[in-house]
Amino acid sequence: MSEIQPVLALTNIHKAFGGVVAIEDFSLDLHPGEIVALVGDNGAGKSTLIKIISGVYKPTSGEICLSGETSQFADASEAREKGIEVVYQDLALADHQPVYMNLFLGRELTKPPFGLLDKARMRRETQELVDELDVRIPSASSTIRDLSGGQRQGIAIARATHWASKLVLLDEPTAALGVAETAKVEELVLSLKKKNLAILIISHSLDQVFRLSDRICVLRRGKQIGVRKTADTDKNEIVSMITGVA
Amino acid sequence: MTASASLLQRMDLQRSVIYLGFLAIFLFFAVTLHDDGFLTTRNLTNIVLQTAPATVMAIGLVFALSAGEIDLSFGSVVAVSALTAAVVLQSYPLAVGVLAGLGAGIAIGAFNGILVAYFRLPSFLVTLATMGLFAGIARSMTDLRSIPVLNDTFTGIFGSGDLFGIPSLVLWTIVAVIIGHVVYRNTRFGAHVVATGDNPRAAQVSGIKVPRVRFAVLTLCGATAGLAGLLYSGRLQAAKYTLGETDLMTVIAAVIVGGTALNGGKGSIIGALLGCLLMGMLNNGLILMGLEVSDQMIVRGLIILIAVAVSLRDTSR
Ligand SMILES: Nc1ncnc2c1ncn2[C@@H]1O[C@H](COP(=O)(O)OP(=O)(O)O)[C@@H](O)[C@H]1O
Ligand SMILES: [Mg+2]
Repeated sequence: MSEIQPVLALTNIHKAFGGVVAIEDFSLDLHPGEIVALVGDNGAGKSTLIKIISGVYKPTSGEICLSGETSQFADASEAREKGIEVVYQDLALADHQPVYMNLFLGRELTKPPFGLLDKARMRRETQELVDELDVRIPSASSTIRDLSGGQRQGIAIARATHWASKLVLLDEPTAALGVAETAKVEELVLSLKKKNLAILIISHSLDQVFRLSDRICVLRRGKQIGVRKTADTDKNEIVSMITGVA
Repeated sequence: MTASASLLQRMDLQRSVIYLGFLAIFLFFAVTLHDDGFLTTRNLTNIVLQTAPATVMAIGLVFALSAGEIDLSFGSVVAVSALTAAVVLQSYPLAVGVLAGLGAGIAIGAFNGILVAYFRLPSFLVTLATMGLFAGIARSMTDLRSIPVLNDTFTGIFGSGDLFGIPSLVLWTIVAVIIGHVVYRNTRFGAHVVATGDNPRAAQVSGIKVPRVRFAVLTLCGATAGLAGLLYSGRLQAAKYTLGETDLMTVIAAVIVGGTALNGGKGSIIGALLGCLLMGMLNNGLILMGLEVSDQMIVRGLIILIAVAVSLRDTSR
């Protein structure tokens, strides 16, 4: 544990859907500039945990502290206002809209005097952002559906970078990507870390987890099996924690 | 990125289908019906005048379809609001009649909207039901009778009048299209409408109030149908339950041909205007060609089929 205040502190989080217990007794601290990987088999509860943090689900019990303040998000947009951004497993992009409108989805910029959309500025800021992050797309005005999977995921991450002030949650951001695209997305994730954001990433690729993370947290059927410093563990240990086979 | 390159990119192919189709049919009639007066200012103005109510309704429908919803009830709303205005105008002044007619449309739209947005019923089924419901109500309102509209100010504003020499129905069309276009393309509301139709979940997690958007577009459809009802009763100086009866297919076809996607996320107000004018031209041209009503229907149906097929083919690329 570091002495500085954690960005996010989860304490004894519990979540049940009716009779199904999805998360039981989960606790974790996330610090600025830290990447924590969340691993576990399908159905372990990883996505559910991310949805709890991002305000999509309310925990059945337990406490969520954001920068030391106990938080209860009414919905996802409230969590966003507090500086938490999510990159979803199934991309939350509007396919027929241009890149810049996706970047500003729900937070469109307007200009006086009539409050009309400031498309020029949104386009410019988007271009600056994708240039800075080196997301290679034809232009800020390109339509999302004309882009490759990697470019789309790049946009989703760029959006998270642009709006997150504290925490970025990524749910299998490279699950659908090829090798080169995955490398690009990993680069983007590392650039988030450089911005001193806290990052929680779900991944099925242990290679990736070991490349990116500072700590690894293992879930098995809703139970928190343990948290390891990446530098102090190896794949064998993590695999046996995931599967429960020693 | 130069301005001209980005302009080119934004002008995607789909949009040009309507321009080409419009031009092709216009040229066809201009040549074949030259001696029948197709190209006269009077005839062309007439097309615009006759199209005005459809164009106004089409604007509401572009918003609804873009949000991933549909309104099938607008034809019935036209009749109800026209009859409401006509009946109220018999004993009350202009403003009351206008508000009553428009209000009836807005109320029906809001009713559709509440059922769709907050009771989570599919708009296709809700508006299919209210289409029948309000068609019935329109019939029973005045026992199938036609109600004359004798208020000259009303028939001037919503029908035969003009301002600076521009016919009022042309003005209504222009104003409605400009407002519709700007709201659709250049406001946060417009952006939220297309985002909702494109990917409701993405819209939701981005903080867009999706139910509110759905409610708004269906209410807007009621409002535009209400205005269309006023335009019909103003032009015809009477209201009857049959008003709007045949508009359902025409307006939906016009909007689809104009580049609006049936399944949401994409649309064009200018395209819808051109689509409506195209349908108007078609009606006009087929009449001038001297076709029987039954043949007109067949030819129109076939042309709409081709036009819709072409525009949808392009969309699915
Ligand atoms: N909305 C829901 N309603 C009921 N059960 C759910 C819901 N979401 C997830 N679950 C259940 O919770 C468990 C964990 O799911 P999930 O978090 O998606 O797992 P993971 O992302 O680790 O694969 C699963 O058993 C799943 O069926
Ligand atoms: Mg998952």
